[in-house]
Amino acid sequence: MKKVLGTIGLLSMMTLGSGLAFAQTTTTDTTTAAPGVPSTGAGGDMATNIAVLGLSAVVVVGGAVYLLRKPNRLTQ
Amino acid sequence: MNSKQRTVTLITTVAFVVAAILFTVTFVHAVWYAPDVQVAVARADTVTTSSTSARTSTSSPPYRLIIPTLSINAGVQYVGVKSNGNMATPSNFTDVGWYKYGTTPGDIGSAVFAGHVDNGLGLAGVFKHLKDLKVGDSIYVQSKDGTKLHFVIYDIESYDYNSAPTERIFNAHAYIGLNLITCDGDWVPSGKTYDHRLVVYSRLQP
Repeated sequence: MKKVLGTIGLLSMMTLGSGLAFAQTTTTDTTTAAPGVPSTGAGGDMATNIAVLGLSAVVVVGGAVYLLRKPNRLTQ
Repeated sequence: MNSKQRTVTLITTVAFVVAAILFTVTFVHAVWYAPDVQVAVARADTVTTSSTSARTSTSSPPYRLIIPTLSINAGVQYVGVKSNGNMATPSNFTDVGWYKYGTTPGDIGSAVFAGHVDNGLGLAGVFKHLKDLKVGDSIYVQSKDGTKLHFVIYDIESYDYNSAPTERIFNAHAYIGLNLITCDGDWVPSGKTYDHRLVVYSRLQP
């Protein structure tokens, strides 16, 4: 059984390898397709980012003030 | 501390942690580090028989892009393609991205560099003032071995982002060219992009 599985595995690897080798040799004749233009700006998200930063900062500051207001509040 | 106070404290703690993470991630992404998710391009899409292929290039890969008129001396990242088929962009707002599946600067064809016009807080990116360039201005590409290539601008165009001539931008093969591209025009909220692309075309000076 081990020999059968080993043979199947070896044959599979050989087939896959030859397939890859074949693909490598045949791709040398293709040309590069032009990609689409890149998206090189993020300024339109400024309002959203500022809103998120502002609100999260308020929660961070408020939470820190509340949690640190009394000593050992968290352990009471 | 009674049960109610414990609950309030727990909720406050969770809110504090979530808000701190959200603030940090948003700030970093908006100001400093905003990488594109790039996809691996199959060999069939990248290998060419012409000398314009980066794989068959006789020139050194680019290391820095220098535009004296705009006081730009930017590092170069090698970028590929996103899952939507568009050229990827550099991961920050100060470097430029060279399309690594296209032409190497110095080889016949169009080497393409992209740079951000602004960041997520509206602050200037590396190509913020690209539209201030004029025909006749110089662009230099320095490779890691110190070689400096001198290009001179011969054309500047702004295209609608849906109809930019990608073949002209990426695949012109008649000369040794260098093209710079960045966003232009107005913001399109649905597409999270600007509605135009500014392209600067230049040729190698002997």
